[in-house]
Amino acid sequence: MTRSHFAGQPRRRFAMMRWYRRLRSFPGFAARGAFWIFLAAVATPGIALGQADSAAGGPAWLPLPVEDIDRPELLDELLAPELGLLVRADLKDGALRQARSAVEASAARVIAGISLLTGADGETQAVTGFARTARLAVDLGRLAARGLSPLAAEELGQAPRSGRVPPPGLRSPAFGSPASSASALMDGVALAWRGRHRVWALRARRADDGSTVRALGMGVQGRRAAMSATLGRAGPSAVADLAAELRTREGRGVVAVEAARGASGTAVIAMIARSAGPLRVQGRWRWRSRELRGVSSEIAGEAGSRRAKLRLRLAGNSSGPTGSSSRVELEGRLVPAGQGPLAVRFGSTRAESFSNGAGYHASIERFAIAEMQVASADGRTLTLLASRRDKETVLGVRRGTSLGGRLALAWRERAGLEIQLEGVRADKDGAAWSSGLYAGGATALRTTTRPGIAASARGALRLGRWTLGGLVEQRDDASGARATAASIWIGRQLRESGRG
Amino acid sequence: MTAAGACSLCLALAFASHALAAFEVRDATPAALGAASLDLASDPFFTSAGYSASTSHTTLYQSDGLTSERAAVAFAGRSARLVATWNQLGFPGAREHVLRLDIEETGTRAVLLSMVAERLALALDGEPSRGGLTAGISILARVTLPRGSLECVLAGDRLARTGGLDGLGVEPSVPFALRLRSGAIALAWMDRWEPSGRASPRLVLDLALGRAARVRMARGMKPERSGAAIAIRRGRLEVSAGRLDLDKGGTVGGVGLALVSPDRGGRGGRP
Repeated sequence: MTRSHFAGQPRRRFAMMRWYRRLRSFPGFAARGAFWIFLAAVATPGIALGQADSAAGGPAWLPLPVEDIDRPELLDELLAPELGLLVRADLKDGALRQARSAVEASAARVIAGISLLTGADGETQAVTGFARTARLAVDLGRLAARGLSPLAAEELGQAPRSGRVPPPGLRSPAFGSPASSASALMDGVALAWRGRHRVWALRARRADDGSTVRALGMGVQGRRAAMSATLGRAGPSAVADLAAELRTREGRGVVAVEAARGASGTAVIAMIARSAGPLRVQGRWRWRSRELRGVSSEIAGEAGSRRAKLRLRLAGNSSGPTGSSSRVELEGRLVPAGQGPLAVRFGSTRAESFSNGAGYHASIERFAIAEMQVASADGRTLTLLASRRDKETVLGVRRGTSLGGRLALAWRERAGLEIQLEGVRADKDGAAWSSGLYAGGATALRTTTRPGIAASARGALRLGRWTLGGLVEQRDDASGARATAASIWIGRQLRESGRG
Repeated sequence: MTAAGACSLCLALAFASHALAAFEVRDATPAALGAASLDLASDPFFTSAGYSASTSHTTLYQSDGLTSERAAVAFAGRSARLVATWNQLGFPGAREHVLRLDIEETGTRAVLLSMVAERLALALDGEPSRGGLTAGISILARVTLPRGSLECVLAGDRLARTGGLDGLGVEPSVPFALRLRSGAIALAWMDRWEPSGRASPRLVLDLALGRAARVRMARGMKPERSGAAIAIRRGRLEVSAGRLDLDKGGTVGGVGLALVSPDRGGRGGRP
């Protein structure tokens, strides 16, 4: 499409306004940043940041679609170990805003810290403080739960009712600072006694509806067995959750069961997993008593060596009162001698639903994703990326494809930079995937419905105990619209790299 | 009227699951439910030598009176295994009866053969029984891998049929399976292809929990379904329970009980 020479003039005025807003916002940001840097400078060396406790993407070989990740907000959480100070800021609409900051210090074997989460408009969304010893932990302020048993988390309103079948939860939960305002947030206090025998308690008020959440839990971890119990109440509804796990003597097999009874009835998750020789399998099964079609399941099998692996996964669940959703995936990874890996994933998803208004609706989506490392030398690696999605409905087939590459640069383990460039094509009402880089270091597939070009870069530079990182993304649509977003972060490590 | 009776039974099954027709349920034991495979003969949870006798009861799709009962006796010798099965499925007034005889080669050969003969009968109250005989074959090929084995099973189910089955919708099919075994794990991709082009693939996971317990889980497609079953053996007694759930609705649940001869260490052969 040919554009007028003057077409960009109004846009340029807006660009100036964005620069003005960015400059206007800078002093406040600088002041807060200076405050945190000051705290870092005076903090004792025994500082460590409370990090996200979950690999949000799971053990995938190729990146997962964002919609398949249970807690996508953790993708932006910086997972670098032993960062004592973190300041992260986001650039949006031309304005730089502090997004998340945290600092902690230790004295007399007590570690204490505070973190701050700021919203897109600069407003403070969460302030969280904590104090910990080797055994005892106290968190207070605006909290987000991590690692809560999945069935209990659903009943307490801390997680959405998931279509996927999660593994039973046997870890004691952590209540800490939220990674983003998209988390389920609570205002209150949590106490935990950690060790082989664990006890924890929570009293808080949900940030969204103000209802009171009270929960109490305990757990025991043995060499071949573990169990945990949770009692909780959120508003008028109560939940009792019990989970147990048994491991085989050599540790290669696991049987775990979680059962919960609450306002939405009884639910059970059972999981078996075992590895033997080149074969690894896992099966999960969930039943909900109050649902008409209450059973969901997921079976996965993996075979192969480090050089060649193959994984097959089938999953499915009912969706709503009449619908269902299922998925089958075959994923392979091959590492030829002396060359980089080639990974491919093929699969299909099928969704069916029926409603009085829309009638019967069915869609089948077939997809393929591939990543191939073409060459790697002298700290430079080029990887080609490609994906295709074909969605078939009664209206026809809608296609979406993407093709691009990722250049990874590394310099003496001190600095790294990833530059990614992708072209995306998508039919009208079709969808394509593009690889998204996240501040936390993860890569996930984002769905886009319009053709365009996406470019992004993520890098980090380590100078002594300090780490400076950044992420920039830009996307140009076929309509001529341009969207830019960026994040920068500064971290301070507990001690010099290589010394512990 | 017989056709009408067959239709009524089909309708009952079709109401519960539009994937099923007359005589299409081959096996509704917990072992089959765990494999999400009503349409295939199930593999036993445990392999044992000598005599065994088993029975099971299954309720289908919460339809009033729609049940399946099965009784089987088996003898596993040095080079062959013989299984005789009686199965009935239906509701009061309309029942399918299947007598089945399996002769399976066992041992350590790379390729093992087996033959199946069935007598199918549809019994409706006040009407003469109608049915016929079928026969099929099955081939199992085993490839030894460095740390396990790969089994490939290809069968021709109901390839030969007598004329009495005309009009009852009994058709041949080609079941096949690829099964990887390593230690206590078996992972199988199974399917059954029919003349109409219909297929119903499934992934079946078998897992041994010690010497006394076996767990079987499966996920199938077309229709989308989940299966789960557990079997526990104590001495000469084997107890099993299984459940099959269709994503679109419908549950099949069953329990089984078996008496087996004392374990003499097994003799290999078919799974």
